[in-house]
Amino acid sequence: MNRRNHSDTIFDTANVIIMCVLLLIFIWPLWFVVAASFSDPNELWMGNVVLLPKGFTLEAYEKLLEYSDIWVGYKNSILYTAAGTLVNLAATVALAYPLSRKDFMPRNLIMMMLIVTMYFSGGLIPTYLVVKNLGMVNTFWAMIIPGAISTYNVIVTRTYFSNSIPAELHNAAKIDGANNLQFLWKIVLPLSKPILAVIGLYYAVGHWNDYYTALIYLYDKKLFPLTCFLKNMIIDASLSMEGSFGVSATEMEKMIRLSQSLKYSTIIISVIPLLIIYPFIQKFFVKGVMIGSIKG
Amino acid sequence: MNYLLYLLVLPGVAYYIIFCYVPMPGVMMAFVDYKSKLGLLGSPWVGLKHFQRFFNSYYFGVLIKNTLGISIYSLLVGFPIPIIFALMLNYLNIKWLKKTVQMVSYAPHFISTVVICGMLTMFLNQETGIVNQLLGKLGFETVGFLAEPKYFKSIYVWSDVWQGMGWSAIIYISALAGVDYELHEAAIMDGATKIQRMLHIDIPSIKSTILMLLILQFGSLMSVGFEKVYFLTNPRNQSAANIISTYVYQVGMLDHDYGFSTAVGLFNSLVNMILLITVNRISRKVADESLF
Amino acid sequence: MKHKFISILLAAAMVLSMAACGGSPSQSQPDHSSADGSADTKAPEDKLTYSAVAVLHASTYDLDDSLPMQILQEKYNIDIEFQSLLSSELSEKRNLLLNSGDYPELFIKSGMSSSEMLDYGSQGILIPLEDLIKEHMPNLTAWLDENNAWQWILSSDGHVYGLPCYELAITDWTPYWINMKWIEYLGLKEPSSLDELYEVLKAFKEQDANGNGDPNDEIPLAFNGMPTFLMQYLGQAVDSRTYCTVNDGKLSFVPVTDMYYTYLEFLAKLYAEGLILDTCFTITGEELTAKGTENDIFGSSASAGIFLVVGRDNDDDYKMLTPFGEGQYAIGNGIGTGVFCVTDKCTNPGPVLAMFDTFYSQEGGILATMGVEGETYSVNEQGEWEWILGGKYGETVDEVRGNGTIQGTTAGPYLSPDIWWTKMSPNADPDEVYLNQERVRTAAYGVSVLPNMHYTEEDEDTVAALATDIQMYFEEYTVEVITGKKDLASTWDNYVATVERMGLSDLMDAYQRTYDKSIALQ
Repeated sequence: MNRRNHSDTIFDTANVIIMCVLLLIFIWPLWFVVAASFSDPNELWMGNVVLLPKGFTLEAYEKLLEYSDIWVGYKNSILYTAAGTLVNLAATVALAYPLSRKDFMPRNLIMMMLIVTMYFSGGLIPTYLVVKNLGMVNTFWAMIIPGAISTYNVIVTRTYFSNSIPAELHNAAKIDGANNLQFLWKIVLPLSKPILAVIGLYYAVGHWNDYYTALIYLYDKKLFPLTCFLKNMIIDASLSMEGSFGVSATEMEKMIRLSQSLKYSTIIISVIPLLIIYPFIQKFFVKGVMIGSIKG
Repeated sequence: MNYLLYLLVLPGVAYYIIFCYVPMPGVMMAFVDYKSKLGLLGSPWVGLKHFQRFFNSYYFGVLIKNTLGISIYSLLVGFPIPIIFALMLNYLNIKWLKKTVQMVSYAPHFISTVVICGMLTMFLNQETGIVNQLLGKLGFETVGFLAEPKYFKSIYVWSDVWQGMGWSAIIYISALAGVDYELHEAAIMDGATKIQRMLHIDIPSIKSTILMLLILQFGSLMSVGFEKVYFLTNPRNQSAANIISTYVYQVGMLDHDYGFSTAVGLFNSLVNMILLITVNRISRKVADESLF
Repeated sequence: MKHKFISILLAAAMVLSMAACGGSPSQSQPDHSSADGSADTKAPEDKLTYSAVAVLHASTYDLDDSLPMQILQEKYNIDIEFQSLLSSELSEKRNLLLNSGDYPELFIKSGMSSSEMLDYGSQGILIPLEDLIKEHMPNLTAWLDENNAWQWILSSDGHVYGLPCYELAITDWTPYWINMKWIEYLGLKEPSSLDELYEVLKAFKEQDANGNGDPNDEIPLAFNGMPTFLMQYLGQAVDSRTYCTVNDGKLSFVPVTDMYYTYLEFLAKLYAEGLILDTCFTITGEELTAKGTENDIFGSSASAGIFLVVGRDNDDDYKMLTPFGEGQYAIGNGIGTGVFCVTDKCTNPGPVLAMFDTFYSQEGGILATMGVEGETYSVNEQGEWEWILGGKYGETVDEVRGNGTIQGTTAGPYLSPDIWWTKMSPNADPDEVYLNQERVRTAAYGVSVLPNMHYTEEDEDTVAALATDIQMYFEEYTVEVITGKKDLASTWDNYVATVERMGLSDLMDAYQRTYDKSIALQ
């Protein structure tokens, strides 16, 4: 008894200390981003900002909010993320579950097929042509369908199903007269909440941060997601530096200063929704989900 | 009775065929002098010309060395850390600390690369950076971290760890949540310490998750991202920062030849895929876990 | 039971499709090109429509909404349907559109490069414009003829695939600015040779040039990145893209010549004596600016506009270092190309070209870059102009420019009017006026080094491969020598030999070939 307590106590103490150190290592730079978003860019580069903003200014946020298109971008991002994630989850589960069943014959073949696509891709132009021929270019659907399934996520989900849903469970259900779909819907999915939460999170974040898909398939300003505007504002400045055509010195200066102050405030603005949602997802990472499901 | 399973996979398979396999012939652009008016089939065949241009570059060896150097270092350091973090977090008793650390740990994932690089440049600055200020206070000499090629890999990898460990740990945390608590109860009865429980219950339970992610990571060894390296490069550490993707970008600025970048991409993919298949096979033999 | 699953999926799909209807899909470029009016016109006359792609200025301003475009479209009864591109995606989008066959009739202010124009032009995707210019664009033709500028807009196959933009011809490299306030304070004069420059920089360091009593805080030379600005002061004009000089029609590659040896020797000496900011290679532009604006500590620096480095209060302490002699300073020609291209989908380009010809006169240039007098700008008794702020075009200069002109982000189809450069009122922006003065002053010493280089595709491939590698190598060597990691004298021969081994002669052959061909076309 003593040995166990002693060893565990050391472990626990060390654990707490390490976690506290980690807490600091994570929090300080994050706090820095917040402080930086309220600081004068020059003060930042002089290294004067440590805990508190220096040269306090709301400029970065004002500039951001001046762009009325930002709100359209926000709305679009929310729409694409919500709708997209639903489609993602449905499609991924539909694909991953059969692949996890050992009695499903084509499973290795299909898996190979998927993995090949992780490495070999036709490239931008052929893919664009396919999307165009399906009539999806410059539409809402372009943000949802072409990216509907990520092979990586399918693999992760399939692995989870393989491990967490034992064959006995399936046999028991079969004896009770359930078919595959019923089994999936009534038993597998409820038991898979942790992985659904994780994959859902991965997809949602992927959508939220995606600007590349919009870059390629969208032209209409009204359809752009938030990220396009944000990224563009920051890159605009570096472009003006390179080509001095049609750019007066004032414009150059403005753009550079703008991109500096915007860098931090754009992070804050785009991260807030995600930070709000996460605690809800965290609930799914709860221990003991499998309690009572298998007896003997 | 399994016909329902076939029905389920149908949409997914259709998706892959339409969006991945139909465009796949585009890969031929690596072997052709693409002219859009002539189309892929009509454009003149140049065989391995684009590849040769890449292999013949004075910097070919350097590029491969730098790219693999970064990704292997990243694998050795960056792969185990999220696992250990997840395991330790799992055993943390203080609830508020646990929740806070977890939430705070995944937040860095959302900071864009541009800002991370800006912050790194600021913090590692030899005069005004906070790291050097600390070193100074502790009595050490200041170090020009970004001026020396030898620090480049470490800066890259460790900042990646900082940014990614919380996010990568999510999947392990979720997997650990599925571990049957009864196993732990039994072990505690037998007098096992937490560390013993970690080694004998937790790790084996998430073994397939770990191996799956490990195999996948081997399969992306040649693909070191472009943005972060690009923003951390300066004339002094360039010799260590020259990697395949930044090189392709630089050449592409002078010459918008799709053939060249497609060829290099194809080469990368080939190497990655060979790595994946090899590691997968090893994993199957040694640990009886594999992707296919 | 199984129905439930499917029915939920169906329901979800229905919800999603309804959401999609809310944001109705707009078509990609409509393919109108004939004279008859499109469905939305209410005008009784025939209205021509064209489809076009243009950059979105400052992430917000559509070219279509700008004052000049509205005025023109109304006057000529032409409607251009614009698709806007974000500047960060310009080159990808352009190539995507052109390579996938999904392109509009016109590319306006889209940053088309000369290699793209050659590539797409030779495939027939872009149509040749030279005859159309002569037929429909008298203003532009006149300007091109008077200034012998046709050569600058020709592609290697002898055709013109894009209209030009003309602004002031300024330095090809980054301007180098020197602190005249310190020079006067120390009783020195502006240096006119490298040796004199060395003496001045040394004096800056040793004699407390900023007069604050601290002899150690001055940084005689502060820059970030590579010190290429000094290439303007080596005795011969050097082209910034190829790093070549021309002597009697023969090109030589500067990084392996004695000129470069002198350059490295000079900089290495400066660095060793602490006259250069020692973190010059690692700090970012922002950091340099932070340092320069805080205190009066920079003796000289390089930047497109010195106020970007030292702030607006101190910028007139500096002037652009006068070139050391005539014909030694490389300048560009002020001509941007590819600002307006026409694709083969356009069957009736004449009218729209005639419309844009407006911008190629002095008055038209004013409309393009300044807007309308009384609305976006005003002129005072001395003939100087400034922006009208707070009116309906915007509160700040950027807003007025974004709403009232077609200038910004990339080059556009216009001639910049003289008045823009010479008569800007200091009220508008004294620092800009000063900058322009300096630019004009130094450009007077300048020469254009190379003609418009017409590369064949094969040569372009050769150049792209070799030039990238060689540039990486000599930049690496440059940094090593300047920081003292390598000794110049003992490693120079080896360095030159390596560059030659990397294929320098093939590169130079390509350059020389192209030069000979291009000079003949002039």
